[in-house]
Amino acid sequence: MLNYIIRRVLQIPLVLFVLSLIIVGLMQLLSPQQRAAAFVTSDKQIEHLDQIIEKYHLDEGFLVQYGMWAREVLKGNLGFSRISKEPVTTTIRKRFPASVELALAAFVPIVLVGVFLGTIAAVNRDKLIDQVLRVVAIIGWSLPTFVMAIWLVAWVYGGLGWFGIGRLPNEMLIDLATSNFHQYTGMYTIDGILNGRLDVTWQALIRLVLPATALVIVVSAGIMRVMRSSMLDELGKDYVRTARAKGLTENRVIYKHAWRNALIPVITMAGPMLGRMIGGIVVIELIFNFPGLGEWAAKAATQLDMTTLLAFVMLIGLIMATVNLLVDIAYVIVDPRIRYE
Amino acid sequence: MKKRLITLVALALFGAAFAATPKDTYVYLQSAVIDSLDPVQAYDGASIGILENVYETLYSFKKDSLGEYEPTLATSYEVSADGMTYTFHLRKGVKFHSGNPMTCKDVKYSMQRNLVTMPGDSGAWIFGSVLTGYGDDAMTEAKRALGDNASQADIDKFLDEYWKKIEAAVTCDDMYTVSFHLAKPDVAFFARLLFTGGAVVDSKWAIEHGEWSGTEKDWKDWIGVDLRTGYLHNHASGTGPYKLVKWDGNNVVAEAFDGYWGGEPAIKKVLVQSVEEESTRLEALARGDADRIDVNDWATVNAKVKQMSGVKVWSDPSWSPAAAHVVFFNFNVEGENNPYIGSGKLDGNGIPRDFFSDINVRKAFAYCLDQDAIYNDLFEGHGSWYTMALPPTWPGYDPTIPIRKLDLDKAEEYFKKAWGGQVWEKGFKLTITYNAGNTERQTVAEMIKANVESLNPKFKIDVVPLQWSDYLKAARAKSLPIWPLGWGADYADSDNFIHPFYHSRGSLAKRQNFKDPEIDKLIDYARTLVKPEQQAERYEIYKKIGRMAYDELPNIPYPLQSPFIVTRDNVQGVYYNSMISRDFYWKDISKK
Amino acid sequence: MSNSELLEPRRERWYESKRFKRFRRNPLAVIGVVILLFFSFVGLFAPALTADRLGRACIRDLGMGRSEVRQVLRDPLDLRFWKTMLVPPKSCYNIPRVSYSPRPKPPSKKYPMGIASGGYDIYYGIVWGTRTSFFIGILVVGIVMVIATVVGGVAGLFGGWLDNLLMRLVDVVYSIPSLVLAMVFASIFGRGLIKTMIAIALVAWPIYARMLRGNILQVKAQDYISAAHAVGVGNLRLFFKHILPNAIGPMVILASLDIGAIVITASTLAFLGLGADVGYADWGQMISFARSWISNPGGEPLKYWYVWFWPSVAIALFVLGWNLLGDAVRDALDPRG
Repeated sequence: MLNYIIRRVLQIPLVLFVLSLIIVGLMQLLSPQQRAAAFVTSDKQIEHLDQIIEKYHLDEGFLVQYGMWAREVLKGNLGFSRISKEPVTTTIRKRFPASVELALAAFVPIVLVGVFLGTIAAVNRDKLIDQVLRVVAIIGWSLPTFVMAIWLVAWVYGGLGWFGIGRLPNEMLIDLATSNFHQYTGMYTIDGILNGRLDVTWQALIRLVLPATALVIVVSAGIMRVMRSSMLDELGKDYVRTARAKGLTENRVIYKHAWRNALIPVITMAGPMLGRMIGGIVVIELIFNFPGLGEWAAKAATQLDMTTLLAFVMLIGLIMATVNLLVDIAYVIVDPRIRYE
Repeated sequence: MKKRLITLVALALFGAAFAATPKDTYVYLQSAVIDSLDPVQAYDGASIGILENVYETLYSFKKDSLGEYEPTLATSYEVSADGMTYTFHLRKGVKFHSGNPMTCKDVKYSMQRNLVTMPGDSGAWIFGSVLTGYGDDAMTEAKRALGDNASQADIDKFLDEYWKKIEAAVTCDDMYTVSFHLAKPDVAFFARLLFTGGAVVDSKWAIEHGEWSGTEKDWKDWIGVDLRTGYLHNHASGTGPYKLVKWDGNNVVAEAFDGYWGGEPAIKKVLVQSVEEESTRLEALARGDADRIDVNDWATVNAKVKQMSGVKVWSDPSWSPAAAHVVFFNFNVEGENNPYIGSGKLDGNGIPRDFFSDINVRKAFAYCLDQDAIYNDLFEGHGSWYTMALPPTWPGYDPTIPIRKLDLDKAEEYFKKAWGGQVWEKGFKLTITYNAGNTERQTVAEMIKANVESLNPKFKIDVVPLQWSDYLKAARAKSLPIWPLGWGADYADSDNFIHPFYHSRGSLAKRQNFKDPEIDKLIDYARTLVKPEQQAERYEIYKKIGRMAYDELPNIPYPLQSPFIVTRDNVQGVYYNSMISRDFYWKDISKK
Repeated sequence: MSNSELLEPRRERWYESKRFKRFRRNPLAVIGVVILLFFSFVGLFAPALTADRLGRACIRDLGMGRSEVRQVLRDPLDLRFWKTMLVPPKSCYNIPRVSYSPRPKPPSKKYPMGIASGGYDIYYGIVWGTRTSFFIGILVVGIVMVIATVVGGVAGLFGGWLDNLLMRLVDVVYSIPSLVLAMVFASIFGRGLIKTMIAIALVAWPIYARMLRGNILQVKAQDYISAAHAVGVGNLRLFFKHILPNAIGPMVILASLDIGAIVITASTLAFLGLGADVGYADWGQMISFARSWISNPGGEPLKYWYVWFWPSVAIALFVLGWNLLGDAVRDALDPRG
């Protein structure tokens, strides 16, 4: 088992390496002028394209370009982000907590809602509640995240005036900048408590509600469906029938036995779910004005800031690989039949 | 309005708004993102919008006047008889935010820092081109002059000469007198000094924090450097009424400087936040979370902002932006296998390279651009008419020059005359390009297409958005046959428009292969009129050029959106100056 | 009744099979099919449904006058009617601009769904956008299947280190959330419908390649294959004639049913400003026009509802239809759930 884990961990850098090759390789499809153009913000600098090409060695071949980038990365320098106008590592340090805060705020409800509703649907198979839940789930799953986000902004925030946009109210931001507020984690909910500023925590929480809701609706639908179908699987199995025949109460049968086994496929879904969530976070940060990694990457994509995109993809790749590894380990713990060599 | 019990409860429960920002705090939500807070590096509106309040130049704009200037860090100045030396007398007793006193040393350092670094994507060329005579940094100029295979010795020699020019450009006659020595007489030098690149930086503080030492010792290390990696990129010590507290990429926090020589301003705290989503900015304004916001266009102002209570829209028909937008014609399209000219022949499937060299073609196109629709539909009636490629409020503008409005009959008439009738008979196919994402230019292009195509089924026009990179490439290669473009002012002198648009070697006219030797002569002559008493003559020349441009039609000027400022109604003292990046200085406003 | 008929069992038609009966009885499946049929109808007859509001360039490219067009497109007996339905000119996919005003106008008799910012006729955009959505879905799936077949097929056929390498490649691409990678590819390739579709396809193929490879291995392990092999049937012949055809079926079905997810990714990219050129009839793009008009601070909140409502409902319904269908087919094929 330990061998397996070590092997998997060692594979991660390899995956990142291949990813970087792919992206840098694709960039080479663009001519040096096209790539230089990404550095030029106004028409007036048109004469400087050649200078830029020379400065950043954009006319060199793929291997040279990749080599230069790789050398810097190994030194710990991920480059300068033209989107955030500061070194990439600085931006990641600042924005990572914002996205994580959002992800965590959504993650718990997603799991709870998905698992809970999925179980209810399975247990009440084909009854009205099951039908209703299935319809709700499939509608939620069919909505693009940005559509959900837009509806929430329009109706709940715009129409009803509830909650807020952005991580914190503007006045609070000024206040924090000029006071002794120390950013321990970068997450306002936690830092608020650590600094003794519960008003900060409160405001941060309020502003997390809408973006998290958008994520929850879309992603928990997927979890719900998987939970339901795997629960139904379990409930149809022999051991359940046996347990019932033996006289165990229905609840005990469901929750002590079937439920735990039904969770296994749901854990498998954790990877793809996280993927869908990250995709959703990108759009949600844009619409709700959250300065997180997703917003940063979305801008980098439209403005072709390769340095930023490369760093972002690497980071996401790392996160996903780690999560997938953790999922696989959890899988082993939960299902004693699985063994890896 | 929904200000009923429910909203109050919601406010209390959800704290959805901090009703109004305090009286001494100014919150501005803008759409753009700041590039750099280094005065030499910054060349975009958002960055300059901060710099113009944190740093100061020798003279600055006097509220909303374009022609009158306020002595700021200098109290008076003289120009030598030959126009090559400008001597400024500095204000005494001015302190930087760090506490250091401002003297000539700082002025010299700040200007020479421009000349040493000359970042390619900055505005330093504005000074370099007249102080050292070079528009690019030393290494680039060396390579350009000596070729790629120059020896190190030659390069060093060139660099030494370049340094000598930098040294000679700015001198300190004494602690409070600075002289600028031009490489050649320049009619706009004083205006150039108002550009934030010339802002005075605290040299002692900068050097202490790792910036250039100010001497020949390490100047070569700073040639062409991207200043976004330096200390001044996100830290500041200037003389301005506000000091930079912090900039975290999205938010700038500034505080009033209590040692400011001009006295303390009413607004004590400023937050400038970059918010890309317009609806978010509008929400904040409606709730009073922001005191000023950027709004995209008049349609949004009329549709949304005017419905809000507690909000004021500042505007005046006399305001016009320091910019000009035109549709360019290319007199001789270049580029092998150019997709924008189709077959390259007048056969109905393309256009010949010199298609637009026939004045009839240009006139026909001009009569196909519906300027009224731009003015009324796009700008909802709030626009500035342009008779020539110069802002209407600038000297040298002639408002009496006619504007060609939509006239399909005339257009047809000229098309029939074009190229001896062949255009009408055979038809043509060409591509109008615009840089993707710019809705105004897209609209102009589509308007032209719609009207031209309606005249004759053999006229085919494709409207193609170009990615920024492709657009730059094509523009440089002079391969665009016809395209809309805009130009914003760098410094407050009319030559900053006249030359690029009308001189055959001007940066814009160059791309269209336009050359009128007479106009060139006039512009060159105008540049020699540097004395104050010669300015009237200079402006008459510009008016004349405008009239010649009407007849020759190298480009079609079209209306621009009329500027407006949107604030909460308790903000007072707002004015509009087209050369102040964010329209007014923070120090001049207050809140009731 | 001859003897042979008595002895041979009658071949069950697909619509008589148990699976189909299960499918038919599922109300959600029926709804899904109905939704998709509705969209198919709208998409196919888009030119006829918008005959009275076609753009000038579209009419010119059809080679007819404006009133002639209106007549022809209402007359199913005219051959030109069908020609237009099946292959309308490219310029017809650009939404006509009724005015140049950035302000949207509410639904009216002439413009039943309203006018979006920039003067775009929303009804036209929704109708023709149906075609775009089908294109995107079908074309992307097509490209995905080609790539997946090649990669999965090669991996399954050759096995060994090639298989390993390709499956690791699959892992790498799969390890990034599809939207993120699609964003990167789309921004490199630039705007344009085809380029965006390629970007999405490049991101979506891994899971199908892996599935195909798995199926191939399964089929390979079957008895009849090893029997044929023993008898001396060539490897390649075996592969292309027997293994691949049997393995590919499930992949094709499942890929087709994921059109919903593909449309979601495409519309998200369009919303972000990657995707088809500005003005092209695409639902996601229409929502990006609407971005500034979703909320109306300080005024009537849902005043400009029509700008975002119609395209978002169109996307949601379209994707819903595919997902319902997909779910139902999966359910029918796999009786456990």
